[in-house]
Amino acid sequence: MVPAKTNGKWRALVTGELNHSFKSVPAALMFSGFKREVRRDNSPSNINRLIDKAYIFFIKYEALLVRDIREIFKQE
Amino acid sequence: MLLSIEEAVRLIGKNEILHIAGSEDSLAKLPKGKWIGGTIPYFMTELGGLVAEEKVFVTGLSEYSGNVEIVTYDEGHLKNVLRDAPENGFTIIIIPAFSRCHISYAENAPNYEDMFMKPIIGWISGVHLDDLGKTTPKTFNGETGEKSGEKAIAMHVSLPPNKFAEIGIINILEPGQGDTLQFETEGFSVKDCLVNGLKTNFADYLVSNRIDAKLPLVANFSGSMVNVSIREINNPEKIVHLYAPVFLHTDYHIAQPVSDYVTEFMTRLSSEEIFPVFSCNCILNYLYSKLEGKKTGHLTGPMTFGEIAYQLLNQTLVYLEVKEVQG
Repeated sequence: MVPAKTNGKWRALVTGELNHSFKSVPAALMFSGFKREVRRDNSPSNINRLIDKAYIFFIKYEALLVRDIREIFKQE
Repeated sequence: MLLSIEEAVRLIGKNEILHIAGSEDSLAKLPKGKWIGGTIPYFMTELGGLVAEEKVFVTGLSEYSGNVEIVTYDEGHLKNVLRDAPENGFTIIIIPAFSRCHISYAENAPNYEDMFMKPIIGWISGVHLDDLGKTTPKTFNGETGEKSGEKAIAMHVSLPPNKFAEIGIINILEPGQGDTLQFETEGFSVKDCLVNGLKTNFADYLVSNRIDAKLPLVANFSGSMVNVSIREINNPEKIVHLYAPVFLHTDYHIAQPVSDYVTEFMTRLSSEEIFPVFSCNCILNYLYSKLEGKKTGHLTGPMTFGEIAYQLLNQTLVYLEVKEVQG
């Protein structure tokens, strides 16, 4: 199950504080782009916008991201 | 599979939905139908790598497709390509090398609406290397008969609810252990870079360190290795031209040399179960690894001037699978 957007791991993922290696190609490319975007604009509104996008992606592709979800949110 | 023009004509006549790669002369001989095409005469086939000007490489898509739409995009409309894509399905896109669409897609695609939310795969069309500068790469819209050296062509294929598309890549190149390189501007051409944080002319760096220009820059994109291949080191002008843009805030390394591409590739392939609907590989892998006559298993297709797995890649095999939804 995809954790709620309030989970702190989302912020860590989109900012790159959490450096996860994705098995899924689109996830890897997308989060790499997010990290570059945060380097350009690290305002809370931009980070929240990226978290929204990441969450929608995870909901849509949950079945493909099972291993990543387990590894990223393992301590939840 | 590699087919004669007559065999391809028969498939088009049966109203099959097709992706076709071949020389401009070959594609120009095909009748109108539900197909898209791009120019390239280099292929990886079941029999090995080869050059074929008189045959075409055909990928059948009928068995996967619900609704199919073929759309031509100029530079101004290219950003809409994923807006037009189905919610569940995939898009195959072909873009002519050296066109404005090529540059625009490479630089801007990661920021397109719906990018990464909908699968998009494809390639950059090219020409026989002997014809570089004499003729231009093209795309073909089989439905209208239009060919173009400037416009991208896309086939949007929707899938039934019990199926989904997944895109993967095989890149056997890994970042080397050497210097960390960063760039202060994005784009296909660069002058300066930061070498371990120290500003240096990139052309000087490559020349003075005797870097093999066949080795691309490699960056770890959150688990996917992304290459940027070196096209030309213009030493008099102190500028390096690349086959894909470099990005800001990204750590690049010169790739670790690979002694035997086929062996490495087959080792990687044996560790994964891949059932490709479509795949393509890079002309630079074909050239640098001397793939003519060599086989890379069941991953066959055109050897292209650039590969697209969401964004533009270099020296990478990309593939599309269609899978059953579980449960």
